[in-house]
Amino acid sequence: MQGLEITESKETFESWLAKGFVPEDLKDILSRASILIVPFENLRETPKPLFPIGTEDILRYFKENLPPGEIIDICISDEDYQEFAFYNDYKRLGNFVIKNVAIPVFVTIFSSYVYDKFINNDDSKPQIQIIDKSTRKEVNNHISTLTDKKYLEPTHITFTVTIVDSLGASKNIKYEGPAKGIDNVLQSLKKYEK
Amino acid sequence: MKNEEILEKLNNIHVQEFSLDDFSIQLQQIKEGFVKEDKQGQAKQIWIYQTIIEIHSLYKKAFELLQRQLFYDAWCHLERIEIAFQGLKKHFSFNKSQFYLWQIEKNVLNLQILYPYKLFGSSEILKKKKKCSVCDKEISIRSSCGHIVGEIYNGEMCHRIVTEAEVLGLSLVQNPGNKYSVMFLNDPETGKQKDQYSYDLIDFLFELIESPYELWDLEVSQREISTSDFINIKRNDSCPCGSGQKFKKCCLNKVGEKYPHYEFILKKPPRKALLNKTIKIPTANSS
Repeated sequence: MQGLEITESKETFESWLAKGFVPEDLKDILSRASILIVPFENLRETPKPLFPIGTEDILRYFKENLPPGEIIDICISDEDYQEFAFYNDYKRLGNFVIKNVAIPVFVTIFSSYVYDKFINNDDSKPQIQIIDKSTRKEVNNHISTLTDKKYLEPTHITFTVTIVDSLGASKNIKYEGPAKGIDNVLQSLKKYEK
Repeated sequence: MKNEEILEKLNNIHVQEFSLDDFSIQLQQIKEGFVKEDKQGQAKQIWIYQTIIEIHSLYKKAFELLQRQLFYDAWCHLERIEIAFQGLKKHFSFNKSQFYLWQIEKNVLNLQILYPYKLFGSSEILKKKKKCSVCDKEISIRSSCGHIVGEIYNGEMCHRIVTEAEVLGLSLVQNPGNKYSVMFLNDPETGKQKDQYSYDLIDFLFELIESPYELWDLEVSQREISTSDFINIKRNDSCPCGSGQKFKKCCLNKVGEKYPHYEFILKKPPRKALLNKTIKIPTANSS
């Protein structure tokens, strides 16, 4: 699938909890989580770890929709939480580390977040159909491509998910592409479900 | 003012002449009354009505600016309309016949298609601290104040106020988060900013329509550049696309490329008999 990259990873819950910016008293709390939002490090040479704008909203959405027993948390202390806002191209949804047992619930909630936040909004907008003048039939070309104006594109998103299995082996799934591709991306996560 | 009266006025917002500002002020007073009585549902309803009025007000202003050929200012108004729609749609779904909203949204999109802008500045900001617009509390990632961005409290939309920030950088992008920061050139002679863009398509449209609520639409078709488009142009002539280059170094090399062809669909006959004229953009890259 275009925009999707699946690679081996060395990241685990333990490797994130061992980071210098995670205070001791937080490690125990974070170790109970099955989904962890982790920061970007060394972004634009910023010494502190950073989260994309909108992290507050995603965290709230997960907390509201997670079933009892599943915990999401964020890999930073309250005092050190800072966000970056790059007002361009892709909506950055962040980096997630999840235990493979939490894949089904992650897939359900993340997918519904992307629908609620982006796809439904895109779908509610008036659409421009391009026609072939001679046949009067619709042409399979988006207005953003034909006019070379990217701001007319439907919303694009980017995120990474690192799945950690019970033996500590990890896979990293990175997606950059149209929000509408979310279901196919999340399907690819499901094969790591156990 | 009763709810039915407000709705009737909103239903006729595109056909009756009245001051939108005065209407919004009236609604503000009603809303403040609801907030005092903690009638959150009614206060939110008034916020919806006020946002509809704001959209109309911005749209009328954008139209007026386009008539005066103040294209960048109009562009910013169109962007503000798009943002207002985003906020409104979380709380109010409208159909094609309600309050002329669908037509405005379509017209904004049509106009954005016609604009020549493609490149924008984009700021990269580090937000160190922020607070809630409703309760003024500093935002803590784990213990939230409970107010959700985009929701309506006391008749106002909740947002975050950044109280400490740092600019990390600026980048040039084609698809910005907001579209205000259009790239303009500097005039080397005057040292001042100049508008290097061509707004022929919009000028053409505004020769045909007179009022913001006149019904019009845009039909886009895909065409291909062919040699027959340039019958009387010689290789060393200036390129007809206006790039300033010779034809042989410009559009002659683009034969076979796809380009958009626009036709304006009008519901009423235009002032000028221009309907049989069309404008062709030789390539997407040179428009």
